[in-house]
Amino acid sequence: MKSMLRYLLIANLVLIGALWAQDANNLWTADEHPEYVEGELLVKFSTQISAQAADAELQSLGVQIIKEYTRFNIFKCSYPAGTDMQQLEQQADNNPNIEYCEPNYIYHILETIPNDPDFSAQWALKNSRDADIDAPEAWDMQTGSRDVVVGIIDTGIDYDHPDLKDNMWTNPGESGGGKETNGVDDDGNGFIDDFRGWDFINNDNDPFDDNQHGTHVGGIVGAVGNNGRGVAGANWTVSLVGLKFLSGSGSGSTADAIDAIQYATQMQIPILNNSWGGGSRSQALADAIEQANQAGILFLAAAGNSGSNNDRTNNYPSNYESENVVAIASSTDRDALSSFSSYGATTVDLAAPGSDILSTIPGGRYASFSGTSMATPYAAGVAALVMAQFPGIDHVSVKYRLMGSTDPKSDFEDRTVSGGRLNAANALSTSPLITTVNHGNTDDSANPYTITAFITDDGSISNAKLFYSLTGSASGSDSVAMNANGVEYTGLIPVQPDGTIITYFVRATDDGGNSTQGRVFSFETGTAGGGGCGSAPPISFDSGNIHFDGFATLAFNLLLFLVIPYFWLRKRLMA
Amino acid sequence: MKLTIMMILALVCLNCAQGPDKSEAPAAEEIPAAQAVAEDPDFIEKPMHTTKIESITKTDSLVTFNVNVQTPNPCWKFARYEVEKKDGEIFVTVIARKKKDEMCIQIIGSLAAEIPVAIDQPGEYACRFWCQNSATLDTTITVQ
Repeated sequence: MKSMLRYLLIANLVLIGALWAQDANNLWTADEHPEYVEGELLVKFSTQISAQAADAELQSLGVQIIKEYTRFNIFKCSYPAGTDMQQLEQQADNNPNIEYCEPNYIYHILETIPNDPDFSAQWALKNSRDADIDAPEAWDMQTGSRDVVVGIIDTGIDYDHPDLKDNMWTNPGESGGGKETNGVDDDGNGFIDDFRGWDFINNDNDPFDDNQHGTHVGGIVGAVGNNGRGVAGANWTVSLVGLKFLSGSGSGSTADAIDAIQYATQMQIPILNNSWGGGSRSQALADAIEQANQAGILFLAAAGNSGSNNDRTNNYPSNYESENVVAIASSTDRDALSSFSSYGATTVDLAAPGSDILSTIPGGRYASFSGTSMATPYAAGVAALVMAQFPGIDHVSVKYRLMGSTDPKSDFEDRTVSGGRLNAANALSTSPLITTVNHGNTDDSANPYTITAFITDDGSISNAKLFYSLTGSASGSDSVAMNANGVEYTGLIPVQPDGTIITYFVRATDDGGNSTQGRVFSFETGTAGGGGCGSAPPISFDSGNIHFDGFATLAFNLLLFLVIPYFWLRKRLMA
Repeated sequence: MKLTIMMILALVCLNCAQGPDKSEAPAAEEIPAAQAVAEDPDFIEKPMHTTKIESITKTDSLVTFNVNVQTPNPCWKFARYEVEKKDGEIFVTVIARKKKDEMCIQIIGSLAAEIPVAIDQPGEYACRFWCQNSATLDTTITVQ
């Protein structure tokens, strides 16, 4: 169930989408556009026209005005039952005053629901409070690919689980023709017969799960979807590989963790799920993760379950500095931070569902567990969907795509970098995703304030602008172009007197003309530690090139373009 | 004096109530054997969130609480408990420990703990079990 705000936005976008429609030919063909409001159409006049004049023109076509959108020069009209629509369209085409005439289309949120019997118990994928990751909406675009491999660095995995076995990875260099068991290192990677991963504890080729944890995590990433059995993973289709370094008791050593990461790096496994943590900082482990980063591998890590602030108390590996590390907190079915979840405004990137999560466990069974262990594979799963949707995308772009597409939630605003909870459908957006915006030097009275944003897109960004306004300024708002360095964009706001409140947002436009406006932030100059961070999830519907990005932006725009001009005009008239 | 638990008020709060500031709590009166062990530098210890009072039983002057606590992960094991008594209130904290450098799965775990408390005076006692953020899970017992 979507929120009321979202429905309102959809309603607006449906209208706007209609206004932007370009091709009016053959729009009445039922096969192409089966759903529109019977008896209604939208007519746009090519020049500004009064309602009376329009009414006269339209009566000649046999239609009547129901509503006018004067700003856009468009009229919603009704036509009698039995009207020959092709003829009406022809008449409209022949009228030089009419730019176009088209049906009043009905739009729906597109969802793809799997037939897995326990799907209804998977609140993380779809629930009535909309605290889910919008999985059905994402699956309407992408359900995953066997070409995307996800490494489950964990307690192993039950590769024979009926809901997992079809999604298990097979090492192509160690399979076929008896290579699985020939006792030869066929692919020369230093591991003999590693056809389905490796057990780094026992140093053998059987990464079976003797706990339950790895199988549970694996099912969250990729339990086979729509197979009429058990649960659905974030990916219906994917390749899972068990890299076992945690024992049956759930613990493991740094050395074995490093071995698992190095194996994954060697095998070019693009996504690594790490639902584990603990211990002090290890330079050797940090180096292994950085090597994975250099190899283009994404490393998703649990933020930890101690309920602590990771900005103050380090949690490893989620606190390692490598750019490929994505730290995940846990959310509840009410979009709150789970009571156990650690957090960090600068060290934890986003939240994902992690409380009472149903998934697979060994022996063909299912169980519900809680922990940031469960949140992390949802993020890893969505990363896999992104890689399936955008083949060739680099790992850093995937990270910022995850962060830039979160649903902003108050509970995560000051507790995660992105300020939001994972959203799979948004992560597949073709519009620019504005990930993080921050202002670190707000107490600097000598230099411009630096605003940084990470912007990703499935194509390229044609321009990024920083809009800002100052309290007490008569000029309204100003904008500056932002400079790009990879996915990082920076813009400078000129230094202002102490105590000035600066309100700003970033807008990015891609090469397809799609534009996204980021969240609105404010800070007061002369005060340290503004550090506002956040992501700008687009609520993007391909009904035009306009995307609303949340209530704050809407409110800002209303203030800027309606309220302020109203009072200015009123003052002028009164004078 | 023969003591019996006359009534255990079923007032176990589902949500932990605000507890006392630990810095103001009196010194522990009862120290289990585990606490006497010297601190091991290879381990870390933390109080654990009490989630449920399973049962309260009494034998002679000893009241035994069986509780469950939540741990951040299964690598945390029971270490000891602390009991503090003051003015009709009993504060109980269950403490678990874990190897410092142990890597562990990040799934919520639980521990069962048995906590015997000597009560030699009749009266009503507010029993407060430590939860996170200095809150407590509370129940009241009346001893005759």
